Amino acid sequence: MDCNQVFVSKVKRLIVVFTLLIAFLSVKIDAFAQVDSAVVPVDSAVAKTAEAVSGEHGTEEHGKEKFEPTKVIMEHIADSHMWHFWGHVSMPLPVILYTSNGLEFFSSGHFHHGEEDYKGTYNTYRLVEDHIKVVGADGQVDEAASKAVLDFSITKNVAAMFVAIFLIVVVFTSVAASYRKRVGRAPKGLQSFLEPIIVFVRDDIAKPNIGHKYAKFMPYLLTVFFFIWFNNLLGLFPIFPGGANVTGNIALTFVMALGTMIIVNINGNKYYWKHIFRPDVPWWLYPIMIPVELIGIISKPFALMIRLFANITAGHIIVLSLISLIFIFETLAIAPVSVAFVLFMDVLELLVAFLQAFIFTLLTALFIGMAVEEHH
Amino acid sequence: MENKKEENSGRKINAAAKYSAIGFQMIATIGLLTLIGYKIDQHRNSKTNLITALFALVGVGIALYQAIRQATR
Repeated sequence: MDCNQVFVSKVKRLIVVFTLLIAFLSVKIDAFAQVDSAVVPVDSAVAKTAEAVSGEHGTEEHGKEKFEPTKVIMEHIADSHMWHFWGHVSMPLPVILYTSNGLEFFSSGHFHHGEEDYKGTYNTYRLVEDHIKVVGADGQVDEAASKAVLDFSITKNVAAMFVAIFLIVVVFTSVAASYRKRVGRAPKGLQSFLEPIIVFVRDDIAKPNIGHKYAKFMPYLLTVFFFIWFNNLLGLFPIFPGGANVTGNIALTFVMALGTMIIVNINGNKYYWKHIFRPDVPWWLYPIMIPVELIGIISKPFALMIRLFANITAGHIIVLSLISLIFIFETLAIAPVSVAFVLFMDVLELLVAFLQAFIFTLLTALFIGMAVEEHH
Repeated sequence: MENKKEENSGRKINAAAKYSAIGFQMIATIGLLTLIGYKIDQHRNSKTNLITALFALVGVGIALYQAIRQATR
């Protein structure tokens, strides 16, 4: 199977197709804009008369909230104690707090979107910018007590991760079952969709980078690949089962990079460790070289962590910014441009979702390969 | 022939992935050393953040060394 061709040729074709699409759409947009500009003078005339009627009262009297794109975007990117669906509909999620007196369980619905405090068994809690704080006797947030309370809640990201895990388990148990049922026959359905991807991970990622010991690491590589890929794809969903920024959360990428670091260092052979503690340099360079090599152990998984986090978060921010343009300009005329670009970005994100899963797995395989390599 | 071509493009992708990691690795190295320097300066309550600057400079050196070694290997 030759998946590499996907990156070499189809990207270019995709780019051409979408440039054309956007070019066509921009022609239409001009037409929209002209219609709108014809409307604008009337609108401003109305606004002027309205202003004249209302007299000195400025625009502040409209009771209109000022649109703050940064706040809105960050709300979507960040983790939350609620899973927002649309409008005023959202799903409350369980809150689990570890206090010095014991555990506390309650639903985040008790906060009523942060408008009300909740009196728990041990403390009174308040939701301040999606962080749970302890309220003291004086009705103010008690920062010292808040720090002592550890938040283990099932937040939006955790819930989204559960959805992804559930999906992965369902998909792969069904595929495994069809392998048992159809021994020796051609794959069918979901099985025939996933088999090439699994074979791709084995033949194009594991084998060339790790060598003949690849089989031992296949479970980890496949898990990482499909976990990242599924979460990336779910993140592109605008509503319920997706919509969370799971792989764009630095805590999650940190844990995944930590997993890679542990596996690489546990499986490092004597050549790997010799390279770190007795490199091929004159002995008086050791005080410099050993710290350099030790930093190398950390900086490699760190690169993995930052890359996944940055790529996915950046993708979400771009999509949300493009949508925000409509509200910043406060005109519907910009909508076709926004939607076209969002569509383009979403298709690009489909590619990025795969690419980031691929790169994470590839680099993990590469680092494992360097650690288990027999000699230089 | 076909097989060789495939192998070649695979190696190219691998190389590209490897080199794309170097940038983040440099950031990590410089960031880590700067952080160490910053913490030392904080601990010493020094007026000018000399150690931060020094560690950052050393970090740049190490990052460059790592980048060059990975590229030449």
